[in-house]
Amino acid sequence: MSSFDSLKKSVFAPAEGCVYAVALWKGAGFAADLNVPIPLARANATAEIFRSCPKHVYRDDLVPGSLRGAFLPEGAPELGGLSRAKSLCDSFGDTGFWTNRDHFAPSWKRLLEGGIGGILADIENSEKVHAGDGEKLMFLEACRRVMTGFSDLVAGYAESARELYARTGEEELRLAAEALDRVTLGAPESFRQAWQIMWLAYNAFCLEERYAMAFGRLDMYLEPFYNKDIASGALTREYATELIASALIKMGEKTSLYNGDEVSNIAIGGVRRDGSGGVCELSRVILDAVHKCNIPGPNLSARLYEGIPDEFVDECLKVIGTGLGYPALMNDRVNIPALRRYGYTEEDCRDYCMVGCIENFIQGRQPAWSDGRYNSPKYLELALNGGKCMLTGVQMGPVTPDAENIGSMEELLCALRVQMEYGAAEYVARFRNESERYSLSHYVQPFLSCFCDDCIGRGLDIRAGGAVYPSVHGAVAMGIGTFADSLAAVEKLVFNEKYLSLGELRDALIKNFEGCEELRARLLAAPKYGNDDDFADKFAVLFVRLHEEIFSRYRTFDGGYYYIAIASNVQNIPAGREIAATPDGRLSREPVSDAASPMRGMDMSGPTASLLSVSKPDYTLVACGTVLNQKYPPEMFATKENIARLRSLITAYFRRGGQEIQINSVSRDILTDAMENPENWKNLVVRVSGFSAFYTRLDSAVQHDILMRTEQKV
Amino acid sequence: MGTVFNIQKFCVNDGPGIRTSVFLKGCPLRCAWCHNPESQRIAFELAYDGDKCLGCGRCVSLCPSGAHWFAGGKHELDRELCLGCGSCVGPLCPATELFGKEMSAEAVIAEVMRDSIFYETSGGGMTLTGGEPMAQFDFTMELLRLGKEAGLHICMETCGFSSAEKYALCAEYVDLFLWDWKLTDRELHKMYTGVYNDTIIDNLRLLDSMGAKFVLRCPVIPGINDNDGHFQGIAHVANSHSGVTAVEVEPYHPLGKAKSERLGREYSIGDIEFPDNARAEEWIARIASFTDKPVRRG
Repeated sequence: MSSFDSLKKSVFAPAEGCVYAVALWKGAGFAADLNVPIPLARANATAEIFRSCPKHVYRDDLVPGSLRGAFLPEGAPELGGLSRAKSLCDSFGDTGFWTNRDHFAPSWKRLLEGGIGGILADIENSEKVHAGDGEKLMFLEACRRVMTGFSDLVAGYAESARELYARTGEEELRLAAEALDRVTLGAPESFRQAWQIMWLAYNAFCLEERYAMAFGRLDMYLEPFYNKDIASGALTREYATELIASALIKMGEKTSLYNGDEVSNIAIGGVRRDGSGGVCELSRVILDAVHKCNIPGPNLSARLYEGIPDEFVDECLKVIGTGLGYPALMNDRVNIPALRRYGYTEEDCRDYCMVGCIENFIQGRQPAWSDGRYNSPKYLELALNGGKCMLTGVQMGPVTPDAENIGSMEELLCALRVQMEYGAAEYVARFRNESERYSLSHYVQPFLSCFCDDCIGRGLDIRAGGAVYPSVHGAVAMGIGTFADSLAAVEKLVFNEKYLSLGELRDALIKNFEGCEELRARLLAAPKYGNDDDFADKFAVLFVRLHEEIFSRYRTFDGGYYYIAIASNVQNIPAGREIAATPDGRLSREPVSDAASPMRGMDMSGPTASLLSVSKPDYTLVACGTVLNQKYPPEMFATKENIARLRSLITAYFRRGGQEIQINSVSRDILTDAMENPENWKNLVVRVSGFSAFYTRLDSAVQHDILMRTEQKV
Repeated sequence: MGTVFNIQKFCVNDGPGIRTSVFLKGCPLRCAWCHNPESQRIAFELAYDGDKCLGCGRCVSLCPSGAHWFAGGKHELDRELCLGCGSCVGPLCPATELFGKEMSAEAVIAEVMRDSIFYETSGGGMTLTGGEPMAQFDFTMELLRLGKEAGLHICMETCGFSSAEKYALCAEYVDLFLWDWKLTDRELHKMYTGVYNDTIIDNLRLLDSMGAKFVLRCPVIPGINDNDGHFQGIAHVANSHSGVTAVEVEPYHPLGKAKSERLGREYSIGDIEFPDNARAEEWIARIASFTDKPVRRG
């Protein structure tokens, strides 16, 4: 077994009989001084976790940094204090996903240029600038405490690595300890040191219980170190791949220890800040390393731009073709203009990356991301029923005309807009209430702030004005396919052919088509989004425009924008459970269409037609991002010619204005077999939506949904 | 106007790049293994799948010629009476399907051009296939002229069985012929396809002398033409015509069997095993041993 395989095996060994104990150290941090102001209390808690959490080093590791130390064996004496510590932590409380906690891509620049010592020096300089401003000085002191704690964490790993070296004589451990010593305070000088300190910062975020923390443009950040070491002969491409993989494989601990998932986005490729092409050798190294790991967690995205080398795209497709589903492919020519609408500088827009699944993010310059589900097709249900829910009869939206009093498509769309606007107002109110419940002064995040420009310089927390740009929120519009197909069916059968009245249609929907099988067959046969048929696709175009118009009038708590997203993840399933039968022929409570994809099984004209349909809306209005899932049989990845065809397909789709595409290469047979014999397919990784996951760990509804997504026939 | 039975986008096995294949109805051959039996006759044809019949009886009331009726609660279809009008076909009936659609050449090209951006990025285009495009010669010529005006790269898949004059007229518009070579032995060719192969080889020679380019497409049917004699014959045709750029082997698949049943046709060759990949690779290697031209899977 190679040392990498042996490391992978150790990473995936479950922590049996162990207890997650982070609250123990966090509580101890709070308890150390219960009478300090809140920023210092939070800093003490964070620093104490960093300092005290055991530093586990795997024997075959090249880049130490593990979360295994966060789990203590059952019966360990200190666990006696766990519940008391938890209760203390709970009383301090914490921010969550809706309150800018995680889904963040740090600014790595300062850490890589100056090391921890550089950041501490920045803090000191800022203290001089803000001398006399007590609040800022206190915030800066909190920053110093967490960065000092972080430095202790690095030193702890150096010590652990050295101890293990003493016991095993593994030369790599000695080298790792050396690198760790250097970056305990100093600026990284080599590729290994730079990657080591980034990896530990990521681990530190995880210890703070942040999820989906992104590496962002890893190739751009590490390129100078890589080029320098390659030029001097200190590094080979193969060894660099090993170093990257050795760290990323440990994201598997989120599965083996936490029984959860990770979606840590890494963006490779894309244009540089000056607009020139960014694909470099390190982009390929990262691609190889993620492929080598072959696990969900490192959520790899490749940014494609006009003029990107064909062979790089082909390399990406080959990795996708292994069944891994990574990387997701992003279109710079849509994403950059989409972000430009919000006033970021051209350079910052070119430097975008993704957090979580696909959410566009200005790296290290805005508070952490948040988004939520906006159940668009539900508002069509309300518009068809005078604002009343068809499932319960309850008046959920404003009173709009009954179906009997709607005489044209225009009138229906008018009622729909009224329902959608009310729905958006309700959505925004909920989100705003949540944001404002978490006061800026109480819920400070000093460690996160140290990785966001220009919190240290301004002496302000990331949510309190420290970030260069204000917070943004993504309203994720569900069911574009269900929405477009439903409106197309109504237009065709009710208003054009007058096959039935809108009132009769509403009654059939309320009855979930019971006794209306013929009507349902006709509705299912109406034009559908995904077949390059403008009759249906025009409503997808409308869908995007309407959502952008409705949400663009709102602002987040600090004056930032509401983006929209067309990316449901697996939320199309719960979203569907809330919705009665729809005019596209979908039955009550069934899933709505996934993300930007056409409705399952309804795009029957092949992938080109599907891509032409999907690229019709103006996606520069969708600043958060789109997900388009497509599945191709393995033979599309089997020959050079077919890979080139796939590349041409994507190139055309992106030229037409498609925003994102992610591809699964597994066949239906494999998926069916994996549902029946999960034990044989434990390592099967599939792209779910904005992320990949182990297929057999998904619940059966999600498995079924993936299976049902049309496998594009060749 | 011509009779089309399918326009299929994103074809990746019918010439270079991403292509749209236009399937024209009508073929002078009757290959025993034909996988598109719906393409053979030029007239519209009704396919009927008894397993999917709902027993609703709508077809009986809709049929103008009395081809559908029920006997003892079971649906019956008299194909002699069927006009191929398609009245019985529609979203409410999962059992029936009509093959054949009258289209103008302009409408076909407009449909093909919807995917033009994919041809630009991939070096693809349009492939005329069928059936046999030459069976609707005037319509095919219209498609070729309009296709070229629109700047399309054009492939034509053909069995090679038409008049030399007609092929000569086509040649200037066709960038690549996908030329079938089914059986080397002329008597067996007659037995399994209904015609001798002399005309086919004469036409190939003529077009080759005019500078046309070809890919030889060779269906390999276990027990019928998977032998060295034919494999050498394929190689000989490839070697002796300079315009042949490659040989593509198309292993037998039984798709035509169920289709024949739905169309009420006899499928004369019965059950032939579906060759696995290893077998196909052996055939490819064997043919490749007789020629320097590339041999690949079609």
